[in-house]
Amino acid sequence: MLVELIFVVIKILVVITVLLLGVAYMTWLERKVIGHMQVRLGPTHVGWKGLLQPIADGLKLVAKEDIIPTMVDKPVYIIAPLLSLIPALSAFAVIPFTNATVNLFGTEYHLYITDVNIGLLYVLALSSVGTYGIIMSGWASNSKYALLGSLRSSAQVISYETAMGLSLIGPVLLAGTVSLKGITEAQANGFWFIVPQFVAFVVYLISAIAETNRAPFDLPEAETELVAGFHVEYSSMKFAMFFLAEYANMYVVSSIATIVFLGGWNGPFGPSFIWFILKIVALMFFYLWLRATLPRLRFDQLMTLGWKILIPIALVNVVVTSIVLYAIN
Amino acid sequence: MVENLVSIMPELLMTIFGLILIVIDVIAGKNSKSGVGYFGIFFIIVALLASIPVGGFKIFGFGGTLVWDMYSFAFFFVFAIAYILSTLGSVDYLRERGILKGEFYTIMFFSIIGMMFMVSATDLSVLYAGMETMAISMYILAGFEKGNLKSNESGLKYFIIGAFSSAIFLFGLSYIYGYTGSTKYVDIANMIQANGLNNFNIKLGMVMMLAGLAFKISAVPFHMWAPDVYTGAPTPATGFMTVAPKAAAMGAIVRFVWIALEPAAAQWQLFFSILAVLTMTYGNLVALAQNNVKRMLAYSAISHAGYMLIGVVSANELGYQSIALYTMIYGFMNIGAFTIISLLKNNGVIENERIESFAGLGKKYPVVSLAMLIFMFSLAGIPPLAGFMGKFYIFTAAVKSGIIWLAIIGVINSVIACYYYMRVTIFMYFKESEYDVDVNMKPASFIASMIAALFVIIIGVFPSFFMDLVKYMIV
Amino acid sequence: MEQLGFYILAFLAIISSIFMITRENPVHSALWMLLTFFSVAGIFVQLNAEFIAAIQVLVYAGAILVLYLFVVMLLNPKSKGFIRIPFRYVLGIVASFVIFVQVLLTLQSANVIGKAGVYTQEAYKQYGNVKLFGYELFSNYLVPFEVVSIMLLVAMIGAIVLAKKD
Repeated sequence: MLVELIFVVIKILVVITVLLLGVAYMTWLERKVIGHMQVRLGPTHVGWKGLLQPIADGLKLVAKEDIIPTMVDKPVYIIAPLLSLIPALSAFAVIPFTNATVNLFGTEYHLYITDVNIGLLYVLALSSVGTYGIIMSGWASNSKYALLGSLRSSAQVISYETAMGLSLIGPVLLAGTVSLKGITEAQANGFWFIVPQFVAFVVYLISAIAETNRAPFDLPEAETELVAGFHVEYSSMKFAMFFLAEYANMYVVSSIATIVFLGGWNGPFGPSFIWFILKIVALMFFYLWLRATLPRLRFDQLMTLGWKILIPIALVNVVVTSIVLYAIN
Repeated sequence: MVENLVSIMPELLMTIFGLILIVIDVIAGKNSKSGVGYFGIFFIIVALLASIPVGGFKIFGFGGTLVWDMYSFAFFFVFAIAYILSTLGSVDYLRERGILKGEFYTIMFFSIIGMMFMVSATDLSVLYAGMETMAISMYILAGFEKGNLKSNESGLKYFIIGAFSSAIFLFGLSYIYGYTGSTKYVDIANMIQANGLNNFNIKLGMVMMLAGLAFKISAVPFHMWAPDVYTGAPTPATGFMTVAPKAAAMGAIVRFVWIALEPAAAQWQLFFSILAVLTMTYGNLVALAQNNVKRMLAYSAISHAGYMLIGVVSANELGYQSIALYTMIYGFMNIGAFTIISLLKNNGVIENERIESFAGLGKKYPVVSLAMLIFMFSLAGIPPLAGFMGKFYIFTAAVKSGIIWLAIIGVINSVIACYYYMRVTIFMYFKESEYDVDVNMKPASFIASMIAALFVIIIGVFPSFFMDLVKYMIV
Repeated sequence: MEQLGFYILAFLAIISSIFMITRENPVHSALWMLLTFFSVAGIFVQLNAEFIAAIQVLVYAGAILVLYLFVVMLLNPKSKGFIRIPFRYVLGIVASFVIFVQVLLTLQSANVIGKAGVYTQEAYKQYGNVKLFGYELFSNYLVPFEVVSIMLLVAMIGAIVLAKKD
């Protein structure tokens, strides 16, 4: 019992540390990749090829003065960044990133934190809670730009959550379970779900980008219109938390895409962990690629895309999948 | 499998037709939205003919959560009457106010599906889901005239109080479920049969559930919403709202007390007899003071719910049959009356529905006035019109089961009610008109009111035929 | 251990609901309500009803409360607070007290004699909550489930009719 408890705590700590490091180096990768795509060099000064840049940025943010504007709603203002970061990190509790096990005192333990039988729903629920951070920050800041950004964001997230949830139903029907481990195992001996569910994959990818407020759907923070959107009044560590949350959310949606559509830890050879990471990195690269390539959508275009295109496609996909499955069985 | 399909077939048919109706609404041009309503009438007649339980069968489906029998069919017939008459009567009213939209008819159509589920439910969860379908449709219909503040108020008030009553109903349902471990009527009955009603939980659950249902039939003291809602809603919608949901809730109550609460008859008889007395008396007394005919009919709708409750209290077959007959008759006469009210247009300063608008109508528009006279006499229960027959059977049922005092109160009440119904006819025939009033009679509403008047007379003259019809309902 | 978890969650739910109805600022109320939803979801998890818990968070916290906040932010109502009006204060206390007594009575007479549930601990372990829930929903409760879909359709049509500009 005690061993188990300590082991779980260690697992949580390791996962969070790796995740935060991943987030830090994602920012480096982002600047590098986009730099090269735009024929620039990106960061070069701090460390070899600028590899220490994220550490320097982190130190800078921690060391900065924490400014709380006078007119803000203080408790809400302080809770908001936490409300967006904590759900993003908690989602990793159910992500099965490897099938390797470790033997401790005669009992086999798996290396991921846990597997619950509502895994996918748990992640969806947490991602919907993440919206609160954005709404609260926008409202508590008592600033026009922040409020506009947060209203845009909540509208966007609610709209795209529907499409996202619907796109995930197809693979869930194929797997017959909503446990993430179960979904991964369902793809172990067959094809990955991206093959029969390609439409769902595309819908999921688009809505996942919108869900994480990334370009080209980054209207909530649209620098050119809203300065920085919902976190315009935040500084120092609180700003860093929003930043972390955004990137952690990217990792979450990429992990879900990996597990649900790309076979999770399954790979032709070698350790399962590597395959999982590779798939995630590929998806993350795709995000950066999009950001460097596509211009931002207008708000009405965004809503039209979500409600009139993605949701109907996802619905049709669900219907077709169910009919085909029924016919086969 | 076949049993399941047969038991749900009428509702299934109606749902399919409802979906087709939505498509028709999309196709229909902006000026021909009344066509949606006419298609609805056609569909409902087809569904009605297709779902006659030939030979009076009774089929349970889906593990005893649903039943289709003559009783369900009788109430389906009542809803169909309400739909057909209100649709015909509403076209011109809505067009004149610029709110002639296909959705009015679609929503009315879907509300009927909810009501059918209510009546044919033998499981509390089906009952609740059907009730909510009906209630939500009614909120929308009440607030349908967006530009009119009164209609907005009506919709919102109905919504808030309706939601509240649903919450009470659900709270009671959860108590019953917690106590009996089932939502099926039969299981509840068995549980009460075996263990009696001594437990606090089940008593509380029953009272709250029946109170929630009493909200829907606007029984006193759960009537507060009714006058404002009925007055504010668009007049054809009011006609529909006073008849169909009330019939559905009565049907659901009867089905529920008939199956689930059989072993506990004495208790709920007391509950309902108190409600019946309060409802009749309050509705009639307040209606006496009204000068707005629409509002007066709203209060009269409350009192009619009281008469119907007498049928529930009498708890015998005749009582249940007469409720079905009464709702049918009430549908004809009340929607007819509301149709005629909706036609009045007062060019003076007062509201169209004020009783002064009716002054001198008898000379100017003899046909309309005659129809109104028939409806008023029938509502008052004057022989030989249908309203009298309805009341006659209800009171007979009460006398048969030995609750003569309730029948006497009912009779006294219908005597009181005569005053305010007669007042309208007196204004029509014996007063000189003070204002310039037009009756905007168009073919559709003319047909609606004439059908209604005709049936009021026919049922009054040949009641035995219709009584035979409902006689098979109780199998 | 499990008992302790329940008491913590229940206490949290009660405290946050009290804060929810006493806050003057509607946005603060909404935040406390969020905490209530979470505590209730936690209690559902303890009852082996993970699916309900997830749906509770997904639907109530994730969608309904967000829409509610949306309205609050757009309208910015200046509430004087529920608690400031003495009459309602008294009324509220009386109503709460009645419900409290009623629940107490229920607990006191909690000799529930209904049928025992069909699904045992073993079935739960074997199939998981989601599957059992789905099975029940599409077999025993199929009819109400479908009726609810009709209800939602009607509500949707109604919302569009009432909200659309002519």
